[in-house]
Amino acid sequence: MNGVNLLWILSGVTFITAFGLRLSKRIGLERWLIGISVLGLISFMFVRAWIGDAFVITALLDAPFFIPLSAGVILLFVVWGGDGQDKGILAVYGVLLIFWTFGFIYPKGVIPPAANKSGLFPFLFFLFENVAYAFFGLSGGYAAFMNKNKLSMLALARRLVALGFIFFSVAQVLGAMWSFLGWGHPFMWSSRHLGSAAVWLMYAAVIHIRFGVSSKQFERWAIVSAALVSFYLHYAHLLFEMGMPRLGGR
Amino acid sequence: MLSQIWKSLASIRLSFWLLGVNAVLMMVNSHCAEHEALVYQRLNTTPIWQWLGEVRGTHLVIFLSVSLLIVGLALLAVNTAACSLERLKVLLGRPTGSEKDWKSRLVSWAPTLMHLLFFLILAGHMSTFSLGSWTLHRLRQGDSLNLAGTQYQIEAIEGVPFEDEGPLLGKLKYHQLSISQNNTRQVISELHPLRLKNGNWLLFIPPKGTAKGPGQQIVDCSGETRDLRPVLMSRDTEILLKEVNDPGLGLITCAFGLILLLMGVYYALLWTKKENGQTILR
Repeated sequence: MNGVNLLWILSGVTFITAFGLRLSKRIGLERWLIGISVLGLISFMFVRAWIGDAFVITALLDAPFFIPLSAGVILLFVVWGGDGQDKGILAVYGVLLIFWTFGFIYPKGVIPPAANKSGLFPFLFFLFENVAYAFFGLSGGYAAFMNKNKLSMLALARRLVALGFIFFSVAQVLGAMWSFLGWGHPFMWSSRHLGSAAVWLMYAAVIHIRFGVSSKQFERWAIVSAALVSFYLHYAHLLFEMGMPRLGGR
Repeated sequence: MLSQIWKSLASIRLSFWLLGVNAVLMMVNSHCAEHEALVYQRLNTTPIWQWLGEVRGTHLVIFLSVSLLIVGLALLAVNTAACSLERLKVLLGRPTGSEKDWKSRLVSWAPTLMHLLFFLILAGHMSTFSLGSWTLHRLRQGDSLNLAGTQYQIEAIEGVPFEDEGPLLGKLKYHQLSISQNNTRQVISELHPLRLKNGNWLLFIPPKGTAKGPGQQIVDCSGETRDLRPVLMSRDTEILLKEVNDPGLGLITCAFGLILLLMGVYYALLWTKKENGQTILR
């Protein structure tokens, strides 16, 4: 696991360097460093998924590692597009580094794939869901620290929320198909399904605020709160999974 | 008075609060389901009024949180209907040709259509719970089984390794139920149900904590055990086959597909549509 850990640490160091360049306003080089860091994370995912002679494809989408990777790709697009030229973008880095730290602590071994969690639908479900959580987390970080005197900057947070909502909705439909094939119901009264429904309803509420429900300031804090609650729901489950037996050790 | 009530019901502010309150109630129920999984699991196949009657005396908090959720969702449905009707009045009242091109028309109509499609999902769920049926069959090797009027023979119940060699050997298995009829062999395994004219037949995952009597070792198809030791299966092992008839599924799938399509097109158009050099998604 040492090589795998090293790749993770190198990617983190590259992100921190990019963050330092942002602080010193050397944006050109910053983009390249984020790109290198993202490539490092992709290499990490593939090396980690290769255990002995077997390639465990489900390991590619493990949330503690895939969410920081998705967040890195989104940050690259944001920085490349020249969006978020205010201090909110520093908070986006902050959120990414929190994700990265959790991935650093999280065991690097792979939870054995379960029969009901292998296949196309679970793979696509986790792909869309994790990308959605990356969008939600970054939108929350950006909204919390954006320049409060320039609420027009809220546009970036809104775009991140909208994209997250689309990805999350696609995930829910894929999840319903998966659930039907595996359990015989597109929706089930279980903790996981109800938690996902809560996150979907919460973001549906956030999306409605801009249609005259309340002020931009209120919308800003609603985006922050929604990100916090969704991460509480998602990461609590990951904390529980930390104790599970793993292939390749911890 | 009536117009005042209608105005309140069609308010987007009410939509926001109802979505928020329902999100909180979903969270409360998610938390309760974490601790009382079996109680909630029964709700998947039991009519909701019957289930509420059962839990009223035994699980008061669950009874209250599910009842409030039903009321909240019902109010949200009424609010969505009122908002959509108000919006439809506006859209249909516009003079012909008031919108420049098809893109503008689609941007105007997509949100209303998305909201109306939720009623198709509601209809799908109602058909599922009023007309749907779920039956469990307990099977052993050699048994015969009637599937949609045809007699099948249970040939084998097997645990198949994920791979023949490598680190996962002996640590992971998926389950395979082989059935035959007139020399035609069909295989049912996890995530690969058998689809017949009258329904779907899939391997059932026994609820956690299901009692297992002597000689009644039920196969756990959940894969949730994540045991690193080899899993052994014997000829006496029972497997549960679930027969599902869900007439609402077509409606739900169709409506969700259309909603996603409209959502994607709507946001893509908002992104590409520019006013004063800026995207209108501000």
